[in-house]
Amino acid sequence: MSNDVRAEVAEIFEDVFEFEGDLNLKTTPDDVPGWDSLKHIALVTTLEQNFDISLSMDEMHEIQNVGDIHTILERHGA
Amino acid sequence: MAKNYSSEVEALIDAVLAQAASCLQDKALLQSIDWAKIEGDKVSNLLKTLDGAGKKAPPWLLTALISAGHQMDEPRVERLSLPLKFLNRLNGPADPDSTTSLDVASRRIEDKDLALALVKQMKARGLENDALQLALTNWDTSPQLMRPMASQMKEHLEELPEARLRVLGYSTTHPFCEDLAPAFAGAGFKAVIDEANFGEVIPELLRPAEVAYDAYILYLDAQGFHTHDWRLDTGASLQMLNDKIDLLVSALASFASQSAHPIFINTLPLPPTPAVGFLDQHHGDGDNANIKLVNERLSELAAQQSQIVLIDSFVAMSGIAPTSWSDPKMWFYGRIPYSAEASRALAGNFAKAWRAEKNGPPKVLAIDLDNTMWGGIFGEDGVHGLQCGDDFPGNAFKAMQSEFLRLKNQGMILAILSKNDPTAITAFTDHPGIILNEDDFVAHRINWTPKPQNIQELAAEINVGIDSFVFLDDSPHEREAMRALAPQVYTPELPDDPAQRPGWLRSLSKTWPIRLTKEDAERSSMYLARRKASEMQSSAASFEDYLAGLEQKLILEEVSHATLPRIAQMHQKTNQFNLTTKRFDESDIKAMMDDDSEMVVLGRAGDKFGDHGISICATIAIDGDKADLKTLLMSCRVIGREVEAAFLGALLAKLKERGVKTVTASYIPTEKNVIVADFYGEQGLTKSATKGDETIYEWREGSSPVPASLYVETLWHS
Repeated sequence: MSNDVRAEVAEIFEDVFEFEGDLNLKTTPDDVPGWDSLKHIALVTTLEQNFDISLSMDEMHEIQNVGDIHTILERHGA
Repeated sequence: MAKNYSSEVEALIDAVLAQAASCLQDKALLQSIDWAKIEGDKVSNLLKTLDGAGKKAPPWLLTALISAGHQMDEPRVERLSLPLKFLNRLNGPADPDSTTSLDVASRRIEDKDLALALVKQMKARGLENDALQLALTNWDTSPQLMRPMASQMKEHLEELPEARLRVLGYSTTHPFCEDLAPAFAGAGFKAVIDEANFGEVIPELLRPAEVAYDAYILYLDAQGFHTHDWRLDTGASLQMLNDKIDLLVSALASFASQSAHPIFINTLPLPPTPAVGFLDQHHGDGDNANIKLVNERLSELAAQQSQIVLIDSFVAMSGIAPTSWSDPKMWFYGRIPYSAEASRALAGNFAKAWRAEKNGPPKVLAIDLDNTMWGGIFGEDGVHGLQCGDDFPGNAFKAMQSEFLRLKNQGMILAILSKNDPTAITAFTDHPGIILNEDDFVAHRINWTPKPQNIQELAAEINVGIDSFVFLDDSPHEREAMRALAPQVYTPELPDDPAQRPGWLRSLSKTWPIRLTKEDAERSSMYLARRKASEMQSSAASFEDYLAGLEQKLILEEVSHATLPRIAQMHQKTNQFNLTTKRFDESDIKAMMDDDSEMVVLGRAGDKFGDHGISICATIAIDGDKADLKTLLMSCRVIGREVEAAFLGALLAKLKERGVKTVTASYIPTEKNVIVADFYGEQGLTKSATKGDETIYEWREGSSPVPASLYVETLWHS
């Protein structure tokens, strides 16, 4: 995973959740205040817009931590 | 974030740059380079290489270079668009002359990289207001532009007048509500949003909240409004749709008669995929046919009620491919009816409607003559050399004149503002192809005085402020001068190509009327009187009638293996109507199911419009003649229809049958469940104790009433 993408994801977390804490691959919704099902929608939409990709229903469900986001981005070639 | 390329890649790029002249033809290699990672002197060398080979750097390459932060010499950018030229200037060393961004901030910029580069550079150069304006202008197509402007946006909002909005919808409105803030800010307002409960359209319209909102927004979507039930035959299904439309239309009419506030409603977009193939436009099961039916009824109502304003969803979303109007996974995930981009586009048009409501359209259209009113130059070509008429290319100018007449008919005042020989006015009488007459114009200034000065005089003569003017001129210099010296005048970018202009003028939303004339208003009050007479006979005049008309049923049963997952899921997901928010999972519920001293009860709600499925449930611990309601929760889908009262009543009656004499029940507040803070009290239970945050209520057989609803029939399923 390139550093560019990591930085981009961190920026998206700042944007969507106003989260400025330590973001690592193991970070889960429990670690990020406000990461509930509604904000999950905003997160997925922002990821899609930023990386110009389209996630599937399963992928939306698959995201259980930040590592899963990176796995998915990698799969889409972002 | 621009990191450098690795040395291996850099070597490849150097090879490409050395062969730039040959690479130019095929674009491919040069287009794949991220120019932000390439040093300035390599870029200068590239341009020199091209010059040396006798090739000019093409616009696409210059655009990519400038967007990546490089500065080109002025002669190279001469033919590029104004935003690119402006960014090119910002890319250079600080220059006091470059701080006038003029109209760049109000331009639509299709190229996303260019837009983002402009926002960032403008911000970096201290043009924060312009950067924010540009981000807001293009936010609907490039939402990422707002990211660097977050703090400026917060400050900006505080300076804007508030628009207090109540948002209703049949599906999830939340993401759309988030889009309303930037959309309204772009139109000059701070949106203060209050969302109604999920799906509560009819109850809200029949019983408008007492809070004073400035406007209501009804966010309509086809699936949420009506999902075709293919178990029904065509007749029954059409009947159901018509019943729903009747209900909505009468609720809207009732709202309009009780409230002075405008209500903005988007029409339903026609579906890109038919339900009945080639018959879809007219068959009773056709999606197109049914959606047209809904839109038709809404249009009829809006024609009668001037406070009901329709937002044409097709117009709003016309920049987006119809297949991208919705995002199916978002629908299945959270009943989100439109894709993110469609939601932004709709939000943008709701905001424009609000701006029209508050400010009205501009009053005066000030029009230049040569190459704007007609083709050619009066002073050089003479009256009969001017292009305007039925033949190409004069027909494009005639079509534009026809648009000017349209705006005149819709209440705008026309004026002429031209640097010209004063005798140019004779063209309106002497040229056979010109369809406007001299007296279509209320005033004119045809002389050699600078236009910003002339427009002040025109304003004084017509007796309106210059902020009521729209100025159309084909000359970029005249437009720049007007923007610089009379910024209150609205000076849009008239397209260079006369063929584009008539359509462009129609799309200029600042000129869109929202209400036309006084006669219109009078006509609507006439309709109002007529409608009131007929409304006496119509259904759903009150909220109670509505509830009675719903024919609601609630079927209660104890949990089984089949229903267990849904009950666990409800415990996990329900936030609002949830008295204690204890998150029992499947194994917890299973344990209760197997325990005789525990009870898990669920209710299936339904009405004449269809089934809502398992919508409410409770878990109860029973100890002899005492019982405790551990959890009670309900899906938002059925809030506000007395299902909760019916359920609680039936549950208490059942417990009584089992010998229970007292029942305790708690309310534990969370951030989201304030709507049930007084639920037990309203149902007649007595407050008996408090424990920290928790309030405990009690129901006693004999002395406490058994809650019930007149409008919900309950029965137990064994």
